[in-house]
Amino acid sequence: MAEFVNWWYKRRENILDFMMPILAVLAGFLVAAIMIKATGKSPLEAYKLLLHGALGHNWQEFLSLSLAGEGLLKGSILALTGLSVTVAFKAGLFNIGAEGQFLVGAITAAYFGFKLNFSPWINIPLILLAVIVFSGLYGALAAYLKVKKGVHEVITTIMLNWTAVHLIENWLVVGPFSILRFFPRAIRAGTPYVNDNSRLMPLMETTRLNASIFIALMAVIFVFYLLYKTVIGYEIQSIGKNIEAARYSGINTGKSMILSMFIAGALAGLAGACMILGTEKQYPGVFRPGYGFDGIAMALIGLTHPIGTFITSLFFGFVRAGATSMQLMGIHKTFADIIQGTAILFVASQVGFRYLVYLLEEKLKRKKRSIILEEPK
Amino acid sequence: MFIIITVMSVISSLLKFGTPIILAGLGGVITENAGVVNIALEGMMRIGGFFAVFGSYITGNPWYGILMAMVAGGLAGLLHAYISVSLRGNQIVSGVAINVFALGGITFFLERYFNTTGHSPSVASFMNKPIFPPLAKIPYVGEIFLNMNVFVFLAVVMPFVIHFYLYRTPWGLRHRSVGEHPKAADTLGVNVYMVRYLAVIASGVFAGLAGASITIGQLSLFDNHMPAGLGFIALAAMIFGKWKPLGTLAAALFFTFATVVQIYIQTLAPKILTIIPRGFFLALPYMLTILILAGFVGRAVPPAASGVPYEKGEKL
Repeated sequence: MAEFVNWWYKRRENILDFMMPILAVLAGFLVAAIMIKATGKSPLEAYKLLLHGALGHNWQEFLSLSLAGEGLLKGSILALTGLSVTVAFKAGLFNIGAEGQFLVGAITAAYFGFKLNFSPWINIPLILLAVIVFSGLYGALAAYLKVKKGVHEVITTIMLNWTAVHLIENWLVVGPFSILRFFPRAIRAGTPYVNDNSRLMPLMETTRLNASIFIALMAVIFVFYLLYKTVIGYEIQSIGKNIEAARYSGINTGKSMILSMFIAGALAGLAGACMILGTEKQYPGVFRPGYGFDGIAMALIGLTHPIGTFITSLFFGFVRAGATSMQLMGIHKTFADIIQGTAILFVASQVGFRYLVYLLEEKLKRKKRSIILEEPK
Repeated sequence: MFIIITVMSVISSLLKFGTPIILAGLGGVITENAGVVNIALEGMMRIGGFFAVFGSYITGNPWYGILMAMVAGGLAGLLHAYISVSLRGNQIVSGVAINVFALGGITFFLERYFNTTGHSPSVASFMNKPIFPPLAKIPYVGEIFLNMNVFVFLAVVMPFVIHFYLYRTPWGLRHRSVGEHPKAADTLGVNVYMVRYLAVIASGVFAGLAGASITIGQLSLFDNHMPAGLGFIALAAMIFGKWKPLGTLAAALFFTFATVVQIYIQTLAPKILTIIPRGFFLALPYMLTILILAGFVGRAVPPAASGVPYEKGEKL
């Protein structure tokens, strides 16, 4: 018993950290189940459909991965916006603006995807480079205003989100980049379709999965390497932990903050580019998929660690892919938002959850004073 | 003569379209002055808007709709208060969570109760129901009262009520002290937790009313796209109004003016839109908010303890 107690005190924080996302997601599924039950439907039946829709209806289908592509595709987009929020979070910045940066990336990809026409191996990197520059700068703007003017980044990024929405939807897409400007007899709204050399190649016959997954994988490796293996990453993390200490030790905190938001913006922009070049093929008249906001959920549930964010994103990618088939039961696919929302609420209240655990400890301590004498330092 | 009528009709539509922004913005003023950030105004408006229609739908009486909107908004506020005051969680995270939850949850309810993901059927509402019908018959000035339903009336009156409360009553002083320096307020015997709880719940009630003012005030149905960013405009109006009720009123009217001008231009002189695209009018509130925060247009400073959880007995 005493050994267990010692072990518990030593590992307590790690265990609680690890438990948090799992409990959060479970709480999400529980609340969603209660809501399904309240509408007079069977949650078990619904979750069975979810599982089948996400992975396959039987073992053959599951093993052949014929359905898994959809989940991976959604997961990789979520991972990119999630990583965006993660990188900013490591520098102590809350990037609510992933949505706006996502849209800036999307419109950039739509424009250059139409304009540039080289062979794919040159074309796509060029487009992605433009996306990184434009949405990176859009993200860095918020950090710049924080560093130079002391404006809180949460407010700036919220405002930049809606600035992007309105300027793109009611100016660029209907004005200079409109399909009507290039093809006056077009009947679809939005921008012109990107040319064949700009499209991300599909990887599977059965689903829409495309090269986005590789971009997401590269992004995870890049962010992990940057944060944990480079000086820049060390500086970014030290700002997030204690900005005063970082400043005293000679780190250029302003520069690192702006850099981290540039990377964050670029990652969210890449997610937008993946959607345009991979599945949408144009910037539609109205385009608000909300992946930027989902990115916040992914980062928070994934403990703002690149690997954790990636795993969470893949998980929710599959949930979303499966949720589409729950519509058979008359349950709308935005139901995934209920799970996500509850999970974030759970993460938000984790301070309280920890407090409860500590209270429980105190109670046990009082009961079994003979076993536990003192908390080891 | 023509000028007076035009001015009156512009004022009338400013008040009509500005109402949701004013009401939600006031919610923001109340909570931020008590030191709790509420970026969930958007989600709470959505919740309030839906339950207003729902309440009106099942009872046939729009007053019950208002009641349900206030209760639903208040409950969302209670949740936010519990997490940000009692559990001392991150207020931004909690706000994001409520927004996300409102997005999915309300779609879910819409499908459950109205079997649609588009918009609900038409319900009994306050649309075109002036609160002072006789006044609407007055020549010229009557135009203003023609559009003045109960929500518009509240939006005109409440900023002054809250201004009086915050700056002219002892409770208002306590309220603001909790937002500026909770430790000092606590030392003087103000119950910081209580004030914060009440403030956040009140902001939920106001946001719920704001949502209701769209669904059963301007219209008589709930559309799944609602409130389409109005909650964030309200947030912007609150900042642009420097965290003050009357400032928020002015900012909300100013932002609405940009929208109304854009609508007028669209119908009267569409050529102007080829020079200044619509997007600029719509993005104006957000861009101005960034500029004012950065100090290019005046200076806006939030209450000192806004966003900082308070723990009794904590060392400073």
